[in-house]
Amino acid sequence: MTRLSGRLPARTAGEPAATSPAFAAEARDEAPSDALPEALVREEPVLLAAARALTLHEAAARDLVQATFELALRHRDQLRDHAALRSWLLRIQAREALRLRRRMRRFVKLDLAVTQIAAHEQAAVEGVAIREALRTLPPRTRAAVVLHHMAGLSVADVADALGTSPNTVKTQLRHGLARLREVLGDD
Amino acid sequence: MTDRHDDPLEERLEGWFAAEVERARVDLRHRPVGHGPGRVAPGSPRFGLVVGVLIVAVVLVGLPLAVGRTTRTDDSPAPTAHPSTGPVASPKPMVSTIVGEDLDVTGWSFDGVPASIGGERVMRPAEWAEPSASTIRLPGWLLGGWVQGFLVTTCATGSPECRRSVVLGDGESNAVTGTIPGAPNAPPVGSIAVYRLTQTGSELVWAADPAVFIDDRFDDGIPLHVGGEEVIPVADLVATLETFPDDRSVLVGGWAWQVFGMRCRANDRINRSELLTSCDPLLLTSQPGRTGMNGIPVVPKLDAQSLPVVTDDHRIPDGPVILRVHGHDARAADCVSWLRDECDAAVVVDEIVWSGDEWTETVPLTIYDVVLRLDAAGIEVDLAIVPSLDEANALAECAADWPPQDWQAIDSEADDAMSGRVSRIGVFATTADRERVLATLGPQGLNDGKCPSSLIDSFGGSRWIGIDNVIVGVPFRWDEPETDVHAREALVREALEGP
Repeated sequence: MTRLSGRLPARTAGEPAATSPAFAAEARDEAPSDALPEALVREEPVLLAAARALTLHEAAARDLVQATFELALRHRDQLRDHAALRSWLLRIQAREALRLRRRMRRFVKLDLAVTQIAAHEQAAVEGVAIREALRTLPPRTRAAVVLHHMAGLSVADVADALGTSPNTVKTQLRHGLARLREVLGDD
Repeated sequence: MTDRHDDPLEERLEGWFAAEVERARVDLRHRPVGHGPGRVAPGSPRFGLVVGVLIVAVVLVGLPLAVGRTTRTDDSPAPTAHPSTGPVASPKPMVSTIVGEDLDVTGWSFDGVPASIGGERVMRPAEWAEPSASTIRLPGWLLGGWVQGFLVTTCATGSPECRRSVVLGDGESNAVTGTIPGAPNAPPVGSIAVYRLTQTGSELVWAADPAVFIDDRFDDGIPLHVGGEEVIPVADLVATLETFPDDRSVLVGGWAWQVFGMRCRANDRINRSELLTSCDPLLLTSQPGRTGMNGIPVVPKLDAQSLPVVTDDHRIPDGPVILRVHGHDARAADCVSWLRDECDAAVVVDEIVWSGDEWTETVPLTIYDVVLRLDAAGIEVDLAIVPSLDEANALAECAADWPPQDWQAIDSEADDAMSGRVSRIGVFATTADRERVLATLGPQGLNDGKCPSSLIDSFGGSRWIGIDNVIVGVPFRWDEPETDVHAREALVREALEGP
């Protein structure tokens, strides 16, 4: 989590501490049970960003975050280390994303729409490029890349979230980065 | 404290994600009020209510299960509960159609029940119970939920008046109960079903032959939920029970078998508590391999993947099971002090909730049969399920009816799947299914216009052997003499054909 908190935007005055470097330290001081709803509010932007990257679909991402909250509340007693709340939530979210995809795959073919973004801004162009590059990755590889290289989970946590071994995750990350490099032309 | 990377791409991804988090924060600040029906943001006034409801739901979740346990799948009419004894009394609509396999699900609720099908909204049991919903409980509406159990109306044996009812709930405290006419082929408890209501009179009737339901399972076929209650995998059992301060129970899914021929521990130690396993323990594991059934002597690994289970009264069948279990059993207090921790950690079975269904009970062979036949020929395999959505599973992507029971088999004498005598085992529902799919595979796993084998690489591949409803991959190397491969194929084929 240290790695994650260091690379996210600094906390804005008056804003929740979801992405500030100080968040982990704050989280450690919180009472685990009573503070969970408030902690979820702080984590929501990170979860939504990760959900968008995982699903590449706005409505599905919103639903996924909601499902993650509900699962977290149901299983709140399984959160042992409150300082690891973000990692715990991201793992729940990733598992849920794969579970939902597996279920839906069995019955329907999903044809998720490309998110419409105004392409006149440089940031938007970058966003479209990365999203389209992520779309070329197999779902589990995409999940590994999002969780590790973006959300900052350790390889072990990613393996836990995806129900696979750390070595498999390392392989997925290697292949995933190679593919992204190829698509993005990033040498 | 920014973590710098040598790789510009990693830095680029991190930067983009940081911007995405910022964008998400802005979006959430400006989200529409309520942001969608049924949606509750953690910061909203309704949030506390939802927390409370969820806690109550956990407490109540056992109630509908009790209904299902008493009467499920008993074909003969029996004097049991009245259909109206569902968890929530509700008006009884007539239901005659189940939405079919080609359903066009256009939206999903968070718990996996379709929210809309073909643009039509699917009602939930909670809505059905709402008095204000009476105006929308009309013929033609869809109702979706978890199949929580079955009831059989009291009647004389063989009477045509006997009727069976199904309880469709939401995993919390809401359920709608209705009658199934005739001899139903009802969906299993724990599955998700969507029914179309055709009559909302004084009696509710489900269709006699529900052809389709949504079965929510782990990759090895064990249901993820029973009646809306979550089933945890064996690997999570110890950690879960450790978090409980008392003997509260959970549902755990895994593979059970009675191990015979296991060397007994010292009697003076074991006899000190009935909570500790003795000779020939029953084991619950995360996979069906490495069996010690039918007198084949093995020494199982007693770790978190392979738990000793103490049973009080139950004979637990070999195979996939869902058990309600608890730890911290009160009898641990009777153990001598130096065994108390071990007694306290013992996993005690309260009941067998599920022990296989049409998904796992394949015909004529099950995965256990295959393992036993291989084992009898001296081929011991360690199995790992291959998720059908794994990107490496090209076979599942290519072969339309690739079986859900798709196991990677690692020979105990080999380092990996490709250096043993078998590499993969696929168990189909029927022999006809297997024959149809095998015809779509390249005979040697080669891409000859048919589905390619995912096991093919620069070192070798697999050849497929089909027996009954099972196919087994026999690995080969390109530089290997053909006679050696033939000999291995013959060995495996002979083993699979059995006695």
